[in-house]
Amino acid sequence: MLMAHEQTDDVNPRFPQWLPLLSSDQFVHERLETMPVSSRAAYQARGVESTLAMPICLEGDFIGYIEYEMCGHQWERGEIDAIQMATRTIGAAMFRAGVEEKLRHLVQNLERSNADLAQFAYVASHDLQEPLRMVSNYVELLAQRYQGQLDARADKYIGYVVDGAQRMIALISDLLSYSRIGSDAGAMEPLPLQASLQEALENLSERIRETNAQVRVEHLPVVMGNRGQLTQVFQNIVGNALKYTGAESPVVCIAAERVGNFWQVRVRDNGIGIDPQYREKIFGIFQRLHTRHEYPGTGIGLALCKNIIERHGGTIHVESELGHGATFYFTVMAQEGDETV
Amino acid sequence: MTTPLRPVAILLVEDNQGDVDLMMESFEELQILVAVTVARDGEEAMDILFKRGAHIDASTPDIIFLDLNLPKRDGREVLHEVKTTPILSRIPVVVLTSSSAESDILRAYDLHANCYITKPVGFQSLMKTIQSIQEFWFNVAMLPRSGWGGSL
Repeated sequence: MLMAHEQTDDVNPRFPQWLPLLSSDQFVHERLETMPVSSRAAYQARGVESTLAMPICLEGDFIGYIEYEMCGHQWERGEIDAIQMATRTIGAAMFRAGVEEKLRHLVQNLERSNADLAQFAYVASHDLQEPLRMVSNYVELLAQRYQGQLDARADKYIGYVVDGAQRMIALISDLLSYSRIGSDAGAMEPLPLQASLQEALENLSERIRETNAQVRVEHLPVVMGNRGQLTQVFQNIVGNALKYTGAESPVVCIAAERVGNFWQVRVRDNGIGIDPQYREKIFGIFQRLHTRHEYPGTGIGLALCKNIIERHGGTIHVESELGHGATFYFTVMAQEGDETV
Repeated sequence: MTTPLRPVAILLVEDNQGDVDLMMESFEELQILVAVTVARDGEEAMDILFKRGAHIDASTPDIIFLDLNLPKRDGREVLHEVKTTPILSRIPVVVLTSSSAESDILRAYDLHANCYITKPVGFQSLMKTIQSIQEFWFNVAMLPRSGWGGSL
C-alpha cells in the first residue's frame, strides 16, 4: 500500500497517470499489454498480468491507494467489486481510527487543561492567603492599637483596608473550596440525605434562630454521594433561603421525589425569589444579583452547588418568580438496588 | 488545674517574622507569661531541641508551635524526628500552618502531631486561638510534673 502523501523513492512510475482517476475516487485497472513498455519490466519480473489501483478516500479527499497485483490471470469483474468493497471498508476504518485518535487527543488536552486550571486555582488561592493573612492581621492590630489616635480620615481609611481584606479573605476561601471539589478524592457512598441536611442545619443553626425560620423536612432517601459535599449543597441553598428573605420569616420546605435512577431533591423557600431571566446566571462563579450592601456574599455558593451536583452525575436548576419565593431542584443518584418509586 | 508560676517555655518554629511578631503581640495582649525561643527553620529547631552548637544552653520547651512549610528541613521532618526521639516525643507539638489541605492534616496526625491548627486570619481570631491553646495545654491538660524528663 502506498499513501499519496508519503514521499518514498519507490513510488510506482505509473502513479502520475493514475492520479486523476484515483483522486476522483475511481479505481484504475491496467493490463500489462496496455502499459508503456518501460513500465512493464518490474511487473513482468514478478509474473504480474494485471494490476488494480484502488483509491482510499476519507470524506471525499483522496489520501492514498492500494495496488493489487494479479498473477496467473487478469482481474475479473467480481474480484474487482469485492476488492473495491474491501478497500472502502479499510478507508472507513482508517477514517474512524483517525477520528478516534483526534477525539482521544482532544479529550487528553481537555483533561490536562482542566487539571491545570484546577491546580492553578488551588495554588493561587492557597498562596494568596498567606500574604493576605499578614495584611489582614496587621491592619486589624493597627486598628485596635491606634484607633482614634490618628485623625478621622485615617480611621476611615483603615476601615476600608480592614473591609477590603475581609472580603478578599472570603473570596479566596470560597475559591479554595470551589477548586477543592475536583481535587478532593471524596468517595461516593450510600448516604442518608437526612444526615447531610442535618449537618447543614446545625451549621446554620444560628441563622435559623436569628431569622426565626421554619425548616420543614419530609422523609429523605439514601443516595449515592459524598457526605461533606452534599452537606455543602444543602448549606448553601438553605443558607440562601435564610438570607434572601421577604417580609415574612423564612419557611423552607425540603422534600425528595424518585425520578428514574435519581432522586430529585426540592428546596422551596418563601423569599424574594429570582427573576427568571437570571435562572442560569446565578449558577455562574462570582455571579451576583445584588450589591454587597443589599446582601453580602461572594457569589460562589450556587456555583459550588452546581459543581458538586454535576460531579455527582446530577443536575441543578431553579424555578422562581420575583417576589414569590424560589424552588431549587437537584438530582442525585439513587442507591443501587434501591427500587423505590 | 494550676497555672504554672514559671513562664511557659515555647519553641516557636516559624520562618515568617510577621507571624512571630504577631504571636508575641497576642501573648502580650493576653498577658500570658511565656519564654519564647524562635527557630527560623527545621534545622535550627532540631539544634535547639538537641542543644547542639550555639544552642548548648537551650532548655527543653514545654510545648512546640510548629509551622509546616519551613526552609531547609520542613515541619514534617521536624515533627517526625521529635516524635520518634524518646526524650522529645512527649513534648506536645501544635502544628500551626496556613494549609487547610486534608492531606496535610492527615499527614501531621500520622506523624503524631498533638493538634493541628490553621493559622487564623485576623488578629482577634488569632488571639482567640492562642487563648484556647493556652487554656487547654497550660490549664486543662495534665502534663508531667517533672517536666518532659529526658536530659541530654
